[in-house]
Amino acid sequence: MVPWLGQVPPSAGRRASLGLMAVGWMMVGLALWARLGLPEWLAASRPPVVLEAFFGETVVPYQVETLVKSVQEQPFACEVRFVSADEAQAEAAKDERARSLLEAYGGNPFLRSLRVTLCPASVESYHTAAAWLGMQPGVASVRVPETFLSQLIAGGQQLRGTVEAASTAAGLAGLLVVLGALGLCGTLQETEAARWTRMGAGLGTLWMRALRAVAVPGLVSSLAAAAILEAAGAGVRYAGILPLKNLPQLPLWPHAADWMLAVGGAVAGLIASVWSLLPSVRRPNK
Amino acid sequence: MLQYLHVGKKLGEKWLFADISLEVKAGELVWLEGTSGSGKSVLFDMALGFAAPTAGNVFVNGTSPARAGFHARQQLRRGISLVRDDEVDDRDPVATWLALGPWCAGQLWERSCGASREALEKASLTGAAGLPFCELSRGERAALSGARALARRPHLLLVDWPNFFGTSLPGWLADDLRKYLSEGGACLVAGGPEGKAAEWGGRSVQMELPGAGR
Repeated sequence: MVPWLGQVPPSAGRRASLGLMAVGWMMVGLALWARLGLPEWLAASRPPVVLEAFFGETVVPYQVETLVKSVQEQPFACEVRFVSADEAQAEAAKDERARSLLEAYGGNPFLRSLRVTLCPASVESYHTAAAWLGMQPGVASVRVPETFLSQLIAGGQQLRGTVEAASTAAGLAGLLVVLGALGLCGTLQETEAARWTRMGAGLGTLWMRALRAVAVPGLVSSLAAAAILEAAGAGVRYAGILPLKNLPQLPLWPHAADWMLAVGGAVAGLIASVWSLLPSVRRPNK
Repeated sequence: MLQYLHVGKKLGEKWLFADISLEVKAGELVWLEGTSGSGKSVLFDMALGFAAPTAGNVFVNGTSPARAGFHARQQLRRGISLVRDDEVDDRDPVATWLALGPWCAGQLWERSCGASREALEKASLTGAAGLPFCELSRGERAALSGARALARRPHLLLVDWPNFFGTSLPGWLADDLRKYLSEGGACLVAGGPEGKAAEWGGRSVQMELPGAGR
């Protein structure tokens, strides 16, 4: 085997740099997981938001059917259900206090309605959906759970802000750890590069050795972090299928992060390997 | 082969040495005498292009290492072997460490490994082939450093190892050194035991004392 491919002599510093690289890439990967997986996870974790469009007394079944079809075509609607006046009364009668009132009233005071469950992505633009429903022929009024929605949206924004800030901080800290570890690895490699340079090794040889000793560990550690997190992501995705039922509900692993880690590992490794060669190739000072 | 022409080196505001002129010709052995810190190692670094003279010029085979480009400098370095006691932390296996010398000088890896095996046999260190180089004794490191330097088939051998030519120089290495000199190799040695220059048939050159220059 050609020497530049051979084993890099182990040392405490090199072991430390490789360990730190692995830790740093894991931090970066976890930060990417939180950052990229958060929007989807937040949307999936939201309780269903239902807008209720009440029909006027004079609306005929044909109009109801037409509106149901029309609502089903809207991107904000994930589920549409027609509720008759009798069904609405039966639901209300489940409440003890309401039942006595209804019995005292005698007739059925409830209106027919359409219950539209908003798609998770459309929750924040519920005003648009409510306004659209309100403008449809036959719709007398639209009930919007304003208090619940404002709390849900504000809570989501607060959670998103916190997680984004924490993941950005963790990602930057991880990146600093990686760069520090690569810097250490590059600095340790300088000694070997100086020895080889003194013996007349060519630039190609020095460069290949720097790639082997610095860039490859940088890339491999980032790929290892991506593989570990990908496996963890599979555990999360199939938590309901595999015997892993006690796992907390987590965001799914964003596959784009695999590429980000791989490209980050390659670029950081290349930079560190070039850096490790600079002292050997520069011209001496007078 | 190697020429120092009115060479001076300034470190900060202070001259380490000034106006050194010296020539080492093919087949010649020159002993550079001087106290510790007089700049002998810096002169060696100048020959290898790792240090540039503040004044004067250094030429190796007519080329100035400090002014040459990287590729030209590496070509020059392939023809020079330096024996210096500064690889005490090198953890390369001994066999690899030995083979790296000729390989970096442009020899094939298989041939370099052959030279490595030969050196280990001569030094009776075949069993140590897999040990980290830094775990060898000082005497063993000196002997193998010399063997590696000669295996590179250099035009110029620089010895910057105190007492390299002392009592610990094994007979087989002394023979190889004599053969190298008789075949036209040049050698510049920093310091060494008194009387060794005469024993080896070389000449001595005295370095200036530190601070005695300009």
